[in-house]
This record gives sequence, C-alpha cells and structure tokens, in this order.
Amino acid sequence: MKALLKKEFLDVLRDKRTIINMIIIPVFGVPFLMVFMGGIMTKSIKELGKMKYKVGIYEKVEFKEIRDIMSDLNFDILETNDPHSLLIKKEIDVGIVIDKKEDKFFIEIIYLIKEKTSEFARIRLKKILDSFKEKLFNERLEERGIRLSELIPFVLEEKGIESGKKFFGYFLGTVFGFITVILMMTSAMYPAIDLVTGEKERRTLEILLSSPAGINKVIISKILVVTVVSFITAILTIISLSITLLKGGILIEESISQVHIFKAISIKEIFLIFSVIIPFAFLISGIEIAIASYARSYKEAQSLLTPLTFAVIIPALYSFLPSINFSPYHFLIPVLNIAITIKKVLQGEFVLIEYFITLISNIFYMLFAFIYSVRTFKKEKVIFRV
Amino acid sequence: MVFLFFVKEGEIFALLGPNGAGKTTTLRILTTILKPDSGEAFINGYNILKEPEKVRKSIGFLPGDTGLYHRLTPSEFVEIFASLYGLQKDIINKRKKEVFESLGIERYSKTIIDKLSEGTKQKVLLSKILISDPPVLVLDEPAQGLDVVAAKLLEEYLLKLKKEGKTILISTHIMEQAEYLADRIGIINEGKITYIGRIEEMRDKTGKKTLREMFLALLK
Repeated sequence: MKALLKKEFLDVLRDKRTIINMIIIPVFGVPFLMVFMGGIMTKSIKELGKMKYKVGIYEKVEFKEIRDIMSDLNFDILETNDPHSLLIKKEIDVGIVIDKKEDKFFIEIIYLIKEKTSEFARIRLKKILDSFKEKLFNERLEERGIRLSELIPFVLEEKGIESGKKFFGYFLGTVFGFITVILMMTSAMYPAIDLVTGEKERRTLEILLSSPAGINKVIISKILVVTVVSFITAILTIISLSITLLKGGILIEESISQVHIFKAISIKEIFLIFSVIIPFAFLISGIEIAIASYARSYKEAQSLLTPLTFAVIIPALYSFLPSINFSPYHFLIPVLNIAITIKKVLQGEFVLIEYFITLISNIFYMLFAFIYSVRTFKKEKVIFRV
Repeated sequence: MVFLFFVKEGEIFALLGPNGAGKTTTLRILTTILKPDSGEAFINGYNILKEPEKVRKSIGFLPGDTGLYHRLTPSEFVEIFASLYGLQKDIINKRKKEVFESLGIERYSKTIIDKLSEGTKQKVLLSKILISDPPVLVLDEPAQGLDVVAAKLLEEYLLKLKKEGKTILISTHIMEQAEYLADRIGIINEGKITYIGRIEEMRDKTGKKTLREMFLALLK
C-alpha cells in the first residue's frame, strides 16, 4: 500500500493541472480575484462619489436657495418641465420637482431604480437636502427664541460593537463555504481523471492490476490520493482567503483588518470545519473516480464530469443567499450542508445538532461514494470498456 | 472464448491472431486482470481464480511502451513495482544497480521517463521485470511503437531471459518477431485457438514458406 501511495502521489504531484488546481488557484488565483474585484469595486465607488451629477430641476414654484446649494456642491443643473422623460432618456442622473402646498415646500426626488449612477446621485442629493432642511429648521427655531435641545425629550444613541471575530466570520463564512466546496471539487477532478482514465489510456492500469498489489489496494490508494488533494485544496483555500481578507483589507474596515488570524478563528472552529471537510473530500473523490472509471479517454472523462460541476455549484450558490433560513433538513443535502455549516461556524451561529446532522450525513455519503467507487472500478465492463 | 493451451517451462510461446481475435483478453485473463466466464487457467501451478495473488507474484506483465508512468523516473518506477513484489529495499537497490548497469541506463535513472528515447523506455520496462524477477513473463504487443533498434534489443533480451529459464507468453502481430523468438505458436481467431505447434510443424501442415503465409492458411 505504501508503494502504491508513493506512486500515486508522485504521479499526481508532477501533473501541472493538479498543481494548478490544488495550489496555484487557491493560493494565488482566489486572492488575486478578490483583490482585483475589491479594487475594481472600491475604485468604482470612489469614482461615483466624485462624479459631477446632472440634476433636472422642475420648479413649479421658485426655491432659490436649493439651486444655490446644488451649484456650490458639484451638480450640473438643468431646468426642465419634464424630469421624468429626461431621466428615462438618461439625459440627467436625477430629477427634483419643487412645489408648494399651503405654505410648505414639497421636494420630490426622482431617480432610476437599479441604475447605479442615478442611485448614487439620489443619495448625495438627499444628504444635501436633509442637511439643508435641518439648517432651516434650526434657523426658524432660533427666530422664535427656542433652543432645539428644549424640544427633545431624550437623546437616543446607538453603539454597535463589532467583536472582530464575528465581522471577520461574516465575510469569511459567506465566501469560504461557497468557494471551498467548488475548489475541492475542481481540484479533485484532474487527479481522478488522470489516475483512472489516464491510466486506462496509457495502459499502465494493466501493469498495476497484474502486479501483486491487487485491485482493492489499487482503487483504495487512488481514492486516498484524490481525497488528500481535495483536502489540501480546502486547507490552502481557508488559509489564503483568511490572509487575503485580514491582511489585504479587502472590503474590511481598518480596525478589523488588524485582527490576527488565529484570534479570529479558534482551534475549535478549525476542528469543526475540518471534521466535515474530510468526509466531504472522500465523497467528492469517490464520486469523481467512479465517474472517471466509465470514460474511455481523458476528453470523455471531462465531459462526464462536467455535470458534476453544476451539481456542486447549484447547492453551493444556495448557501450564499443571505435571506434563507436553513432548516435541519437542509443539513442533509450534500454540498449545501458543508457550505452552510462552514458559513455558520465562521459566523458564530454554529448549532450543535446541525453540525452533527452534517457530519453524520457526510460520513454516510462518504461510505456510499467509497463503496460505489470500488464497485464501479471492479466492474470489468466499465474499466475495460472499449 | 473456448480454448486449451499449455506453455512449457522455459519456452517462448507466441499468440498470433487478427485484431479482435481475443489475444489481449486472453492475456488479461491469465494475468488476473479479467475473470473468465468459465473454465480454469494455471500460471506457475497456481489457479488464476483461486490463488490470484500467487499468480500475480509469479508474473511480469508488459503491455508495451505505453505501460510506463511518464512522470516517474526509471529509478522510482522500478523501485515501486519491486516493492509491490515484496522485495526489501536493500535488495531492490542492489538489483536496480546491477540491472541498470547491464542495460546501460544508469545515467538516466533520475530522468523523468517522458524525456527518454523509445529504446531507453523499453529498457526501463525490461528492468522492471528483471528486478522483480518473476518466473513467467506475459507480453502484449511489446514491440508496438518501437523502432527497429529498440525492437531488436527487446528480442535479444527475451531470448536471454528464456535461456535463464523464464517462461514467456507473447502476443504479437509481427510475424518476423514471432518467427524469430517463438518455440511454439498458437493461432487464435474469433475467441478460439485454431492451431498450436512448432513452426516446422506449421510448414509441414500448410506447405507454405513464410510464417505470414502459414498464418493466413491456418486462419481459414
């Protein structure tokens, strides 16, 4: 068995595709993508903040101060009787209609829903108008000789304290569960194909099966090696994502980025995550090896394994959705249960019963995948299909 | 497939047949890779169904050039397979040194197999067998993809192994190779052995001169 494992590891670790999927993508690809995407998002937000927005003003009654304020605050003003049409034609970013009923001014802000520039223009405009309204309010009170503090019965303040860990876990948990299960699947794919279909194609499987090792040891060593590759990918992904989120400061406030990684994730949490990842790595490995056993060529194996990508991505995406309340039944669904367990553990919302449902169901799935894989590999009609 | 044949100890037996005749399937059954639907076979006195582990320890199987791990070095390749045959590390190292020296591939021992020439690759495959030292060799189209020089080298080594007492079963469609190497020839067609005999006997029976002509005559 030791010799077989040595052979499988040497063979797999010298395959560039395995190295790319197992090491390069988790260690460099994922952080690069996050830094790159984070950078683009930050730049885009900054640009929107600096932008000179076009405002269409329809003054049913004159309100001179409003126009003066907006001119001073980097808005292009366009007088119009129909801001709706201009907005739809995108000739303006936001519109305001000024009217007066009785002795009160009514200001209506018109903007395009789900239009990023229009939304940002609305936010900036509303902030300015709110502040102007407050200023006028205070002036009127002063005219009447009333101090604002006299009118306020009590002061209400909110002070939210971030634990650091929870905040960190929120970001890490949301992305980690999703990314990890997908990378575990893709990294196991190439070694599974190479160690089964590749060996069939190169006819090395025959010298292996005719050697004293025997078919059981041959298939078990292959499952173990693919499992280890998938597991290493998971470890590298969590380390790389943690470092990117904490040290890279991507999407994280300054104070939070100071939190040290080992303070952010406890040994207990690492144990909980790894305890569910190990059977999942076996499950992925077993299924991929079984499917690869049916293929006659490398290309055919890739085609047969492509649907598996969707079978993993869809439940993994489901875990990503913030609005879903997961019931205990969700923790029985393979892939999804791993992604949400990781998410919950890192977000500090870990529930013991849900963890055990995930762990036990994955041990069950692991055994099923293991038996299925061994049986498939031992079928002569499958392994020597021509 | 229904047939009966014996390979004598220390002889080279060549299995000839057209594509799809069942040569590879026969060899796969004898090497325990496939199970027969019915019947029995013995290798080195061991039943392939009842004692497959002992059978596997008794054989060295070569599926030709393609049966090499291209990402391993010759040293790693032979070490791993010798370990599977249960040899101790010190014995493996000793034999490896001797075999590599005799085949002239010592300087390539740490080179990735994929970078070696076809002839050297063939020597690596041979070294696997020589180090493990099983009494029975089974070769499926061993000269496939080899150039004339590499094929000649293989043939010389097989004759040398025969002299050392190895029993060799070879499947080939290269008539010249079978004629040069084989003590006896078996012709297989559509899953049945249609003829077994020495080349002289084949010549007497068919009245043909070349093995190619004899083969075609006996195939009918």
